[in-house]
Amino acid sequence: MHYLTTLRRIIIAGFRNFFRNAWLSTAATAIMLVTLLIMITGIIMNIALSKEIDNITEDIGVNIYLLDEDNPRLRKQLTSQLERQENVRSIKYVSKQQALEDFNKDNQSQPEILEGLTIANNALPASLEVRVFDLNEINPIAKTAESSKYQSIVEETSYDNETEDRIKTIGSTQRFVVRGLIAAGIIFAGISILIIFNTIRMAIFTRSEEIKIMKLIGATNAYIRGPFLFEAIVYGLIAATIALAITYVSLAVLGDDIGRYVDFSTVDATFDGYWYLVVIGTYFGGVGLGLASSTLAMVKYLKLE
Amino acid sequence: MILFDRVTKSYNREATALSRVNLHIQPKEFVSIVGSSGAGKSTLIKLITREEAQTSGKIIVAGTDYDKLKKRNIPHIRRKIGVVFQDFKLLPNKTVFENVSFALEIVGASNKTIKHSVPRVLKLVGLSNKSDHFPAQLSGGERQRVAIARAVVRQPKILIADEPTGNLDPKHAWDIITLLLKINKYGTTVLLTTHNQDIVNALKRRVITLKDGRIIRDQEKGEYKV
Repeated sequence: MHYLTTLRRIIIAGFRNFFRNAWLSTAATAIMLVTLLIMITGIIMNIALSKEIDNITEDIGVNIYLLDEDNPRLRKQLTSQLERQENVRSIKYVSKQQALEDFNKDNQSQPEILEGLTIANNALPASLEVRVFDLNEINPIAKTAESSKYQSIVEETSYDNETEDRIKTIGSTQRFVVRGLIAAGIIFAGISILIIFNTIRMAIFTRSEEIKIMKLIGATNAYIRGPFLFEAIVYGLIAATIALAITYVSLAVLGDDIGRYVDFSTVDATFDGYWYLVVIGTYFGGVGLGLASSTLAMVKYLKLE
Repeated sequence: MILFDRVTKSYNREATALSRVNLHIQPKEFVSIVGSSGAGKSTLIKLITREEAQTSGKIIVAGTDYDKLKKRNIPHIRRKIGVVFQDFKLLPNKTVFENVSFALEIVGASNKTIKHSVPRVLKLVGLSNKSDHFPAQLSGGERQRVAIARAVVRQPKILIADEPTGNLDPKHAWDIITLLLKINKYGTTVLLTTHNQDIVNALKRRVITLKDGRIIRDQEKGEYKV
């Protein structure tokens, strides 16, 4: 009961501090809000672009074209040898007939292309479609397929350079954007800390006489420090709440538009499935920034010994 | 209640504020500590309130040996000691009631206790009708009475009045001294430091005279001789 009463008084004093320096408090909260928004945007961009890369990577890989003289035993040996490689996601055998069917399906709208191609004179080769996890590690697959052991069944190996280039572009965009946001996040976190530090310093100076008297009449250090810590917590709570509201509204309003350019399903899924982690993380970030700044200001300006 | 055994306080090799002071103050005593500026009165009080630590010697206050007092427990010993300052040290943006209740708030007293205790102590100091006033609206004597109310509202074992009449005219000074005597009568040990010869001599209580950091006189029903 006694501790609850004391805690209540500390909280009230913290709120009083917050409103006493209203302009500084608003500036501190605003800059913290910007910091949190940058952090959340960074996380969203990272999730969305990673998923985009994942999607494209899923569609491409190495195609191993097989000679018409099929040797099922050797083909199975090649398949199982490739399957043992860590980078291999999946292997699909596409027979000559399947290749023709796929080709027909893909070119239904252009009958002139299909005219000369029938089952009887099917020129399309059978193939092994190998999907990979990492396109940069594609060489060992090609090397295995092109080894002398499989010379009698493998015609050639190929992969789609254009798609690879696209992945590399998205990958470098992702790295650039995420690194940029991390840098901006660090800069704004620094500015937040400085502004809150300054706000708390002002509050300490404004209340210096009160603090002196509190000490003399027996207030504990925790009772004196508490309001300054709570004031910083208030900045964090308000900034985190607004940041989450802006994020929620932005995703609801702009999500579909952004979805046309990048796959946004994972962002939606992440926010749907792990919304509590996003909420906790944002509040944790805001309150953490506030507490760190306030503690720094108190270490420097609130000497209680 | 207060025991000083060969207590020395030096700030550096040249400046010794107190030198091998021996002092024993019993519970419920009313003691005046006198001496000219720089005699060591303020240092003595700062050692009792543990604003400063002695360089050597032993200090025991209200049963607590200061050598064994941990920093985190200093606020707890201060709660047993009420202090009244020459410059009142009231919070200008708080009313009389709030200034007094402040002393209870910081120790976690309930609102019920505050509502019960503050009016009683304001009645004791004669300020019941001014509980909503701010310090700026009060006279010097009234401000000092608020400070006394704040010091005694927690019913401390010891009340230290550090030059409480220094800024007051003779009439208000006597009001304050009368109030201190009343508080002492209720059982609180009172330590009064003052320059005021008339007051000390009229009190006819124990007087400890300090000079150059040493006790030069300690008399029951003593006098202040300049």
